[in-house]
Amino acid sequence: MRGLSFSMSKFQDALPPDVESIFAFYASIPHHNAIGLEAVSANLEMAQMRIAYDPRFVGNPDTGILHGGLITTLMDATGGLAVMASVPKGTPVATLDLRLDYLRGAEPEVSLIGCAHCYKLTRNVAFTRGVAYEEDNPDDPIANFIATYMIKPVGIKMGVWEAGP
Amino acid sequence: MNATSADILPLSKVINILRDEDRLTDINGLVPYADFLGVVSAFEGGELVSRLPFREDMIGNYTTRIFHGGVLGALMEQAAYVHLLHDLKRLRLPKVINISINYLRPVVPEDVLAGCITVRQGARIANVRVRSWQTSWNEPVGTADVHFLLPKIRK
Repeated sequence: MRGLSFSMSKFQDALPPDVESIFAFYASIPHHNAIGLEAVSANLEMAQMRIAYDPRFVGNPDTGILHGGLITTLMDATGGLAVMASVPKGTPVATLDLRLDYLRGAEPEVSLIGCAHCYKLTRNVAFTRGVAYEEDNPDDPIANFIATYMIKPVGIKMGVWEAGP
Repeated sequence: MNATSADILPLSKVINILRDEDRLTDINGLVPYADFLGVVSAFEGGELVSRLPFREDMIGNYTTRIFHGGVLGALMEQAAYVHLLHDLKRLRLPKVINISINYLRPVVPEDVLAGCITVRQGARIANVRVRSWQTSWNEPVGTADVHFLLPKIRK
C-alpha cells in the first residue's frame, strides 16, 4: 500500500499534522483513559494503538475471549488516529461508518494492537482500512477493519491531496 | 443481579436457566464487557430495548463532549446479541461474524437506546439490524447490521 504525502504548497494556511498534539489529544479522551487505550505511533503510512487485556472486557466468560465492542472502540480510535495524522493540524474528524470482520477470537491475557492506514483522502471524506492483532502475533489478525471518516476543514483552505511519492 | 446457581455454570448452560425463568435480559450482567459499560435491556411497550446510561468515562472528545464511537458500536452489538437470544427458535450462544455501523448523529452526553429486528434467522446464520437513538426514535444516532453464526445444536 502506498502512503499519502503531505504537500505543504497545496495547503494555504494549513499546518502539517502534529503527531505530538494528536497524541496529547488522544491521551485526554476520557474513554481512552477508562479502558487503558493508548496511541503507539502515527504517521502518513500507518497508525497503531494498543490495549492491554482486562477481564472486564470479556465478551464470553466461558472462553475469556474479548467482546467485539472493545475491538470496535480500538479500531474506531486507530482509524481516527490514522486520519488525524494525514490531515492538516486541527482538522475535525468524525466517524461516518465502520465495518469489522471478526476473523477469530483473540487469545485471552494478550494485549491487542490496532493498526490502520488512511489510503485515500478527499475534501470531505477520509478512507481507512486496517487490522487488529494480538501483540505477539501480527501475522494472524483477529479482525479486519474498514471505515470512512468525515473531515471538515475549519479555517483551513484545503488543497488537493496527492498520493505519493 | 441476584446470585443463583446460574453464576457458577458456563454461560452456554445459564442461558437455558435464564430463559426458563423468563429473565434472558439478565445476560448483560453475565457478559463482563456489557456489565462494565452498564448496558440494561428491558421490554418497553412490548419492544425489547437496550439502554446505555451515560457515564463521564464514555466521552470520546472532551471539548465537544460526545460519546466515543466505539461505545455506541459496543451498545449496538450487545443489543443485537440480547435481541437475537430472545428471537432464537432454538437457544444457543451466537457468535458475531461481522458488524457494519453507520454513525448518523453526534451522541450527546445522555442515555442512548437501541432497538433491533431479526431480519433473517437461518440454520447457521442470523442477521440483526439495530437502530439507536436518544431524544426520539425518528432521529437515530446510529444504525448497525450484524451477522451472527449460530453454533450447531448437538442432537
